Amino acid sequence: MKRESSEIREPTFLILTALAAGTLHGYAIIQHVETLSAGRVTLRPGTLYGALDRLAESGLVVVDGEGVEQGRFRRYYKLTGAGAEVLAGEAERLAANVRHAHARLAMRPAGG
Amino acid sequence: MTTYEQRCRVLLKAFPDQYRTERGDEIVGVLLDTGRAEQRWPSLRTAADLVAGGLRVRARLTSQGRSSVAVIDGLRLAALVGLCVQAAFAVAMVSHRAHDGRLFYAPSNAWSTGALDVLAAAWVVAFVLVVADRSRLAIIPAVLASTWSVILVVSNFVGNLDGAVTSVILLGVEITLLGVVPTLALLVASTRRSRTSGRPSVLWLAALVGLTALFSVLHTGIGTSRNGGRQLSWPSSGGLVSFLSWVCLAALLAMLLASLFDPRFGVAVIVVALPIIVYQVGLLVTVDSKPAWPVVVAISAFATTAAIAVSTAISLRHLRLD
Repeated sequence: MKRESSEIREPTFLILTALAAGTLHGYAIIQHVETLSAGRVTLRPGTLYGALDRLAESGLVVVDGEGVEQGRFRRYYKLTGAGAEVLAGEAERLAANVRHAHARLAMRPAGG
Repeated sequence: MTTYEQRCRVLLKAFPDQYRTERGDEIVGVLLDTGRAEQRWPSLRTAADLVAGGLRVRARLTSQGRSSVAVIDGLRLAALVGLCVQAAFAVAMVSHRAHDGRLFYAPSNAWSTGALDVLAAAWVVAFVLVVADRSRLAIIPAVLASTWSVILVVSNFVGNLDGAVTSVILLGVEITLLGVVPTLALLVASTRRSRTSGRPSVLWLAALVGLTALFSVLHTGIGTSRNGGRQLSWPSSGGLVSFLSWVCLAALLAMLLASLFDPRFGVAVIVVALPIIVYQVGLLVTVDSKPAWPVVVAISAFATTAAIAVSTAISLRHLRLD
């Protein structure tokens, strides 16, 4: 089943974000996600490939080549157009939440 | 290949063969990248993550397709297991009659004694037909045997209205339900086409449960015979009872574990365990049939209830994936 953008969990959101800038292999995705989350989210292979499988089934990412690099078999993944749309929608939703949070905080009485 | 890589590849066996062939080298590559140079064992978290990931892939691959198909296949598996138990009971009862002379949970008269052969033959034929993937044909002997079982157990109950419910009557109710419930499952399953008809991989399970039932009934037969058929005896040397209880639990547990990979087993556990619960709870609550092993029965009842609850949760989760 294709997930609605509002149902995207943080690791999935970070994977899509990592792939937004270009094609990456599995280990690179793990590194980017760790950097993007400031070390808060560390993906492990079982979780990563489960997420990639779901995203591929939903048509949000596709395999974009494979090869051997430094003795390691690599498969490269890239965001599809649908994936970019879902990521943009989710980013807008989160940004709106942030705006609302800042606006509400600004209305907070001083000293309260 | 390093020791670390070898151990990673062992953990990858949690994934289905085909998935491992396609993705194994890629995942191992990531594991080597994320591991330390001197590392010999994958960390506990990584190991747990890989096993959980493998189980999720298995569940997803199994439940691809419609939920109703998985439910129908589960009912078919339940029918297979239930009819296997019935066939084993039937063989045991025939052997029991050799030294007792009647069906132990039916009224002691000529017609019930004669009914045994018909009943036994019907259950065995129904089981063989299901194994031979002739499920629709198996409905005829299964429905006949179910009806006959209900008549026998009801007539025994009516004949004992003056007395309390005995463990013999309870066992009769359980045996009857163990036949009636799978027969109903067979009836429902026969209305839909199975996607795994004749799949032999489930037969080992049916054989395990059947073997357990066979030993149980042979043991029960001996106990019943000692008490004139009125009350089941729970022998002072409880080794066998205890052993069989654990074998039954092991069979349920095996199905439960299998349900992690395959929702059909979850559906089957629910269907098969319901009659067992009725018997176990009945044993615990009836006044005159307190077994000498209430703790064993209580543990068994609790484990069976837990098995049903867990199976329901797992099955629902599997089926929601579609």
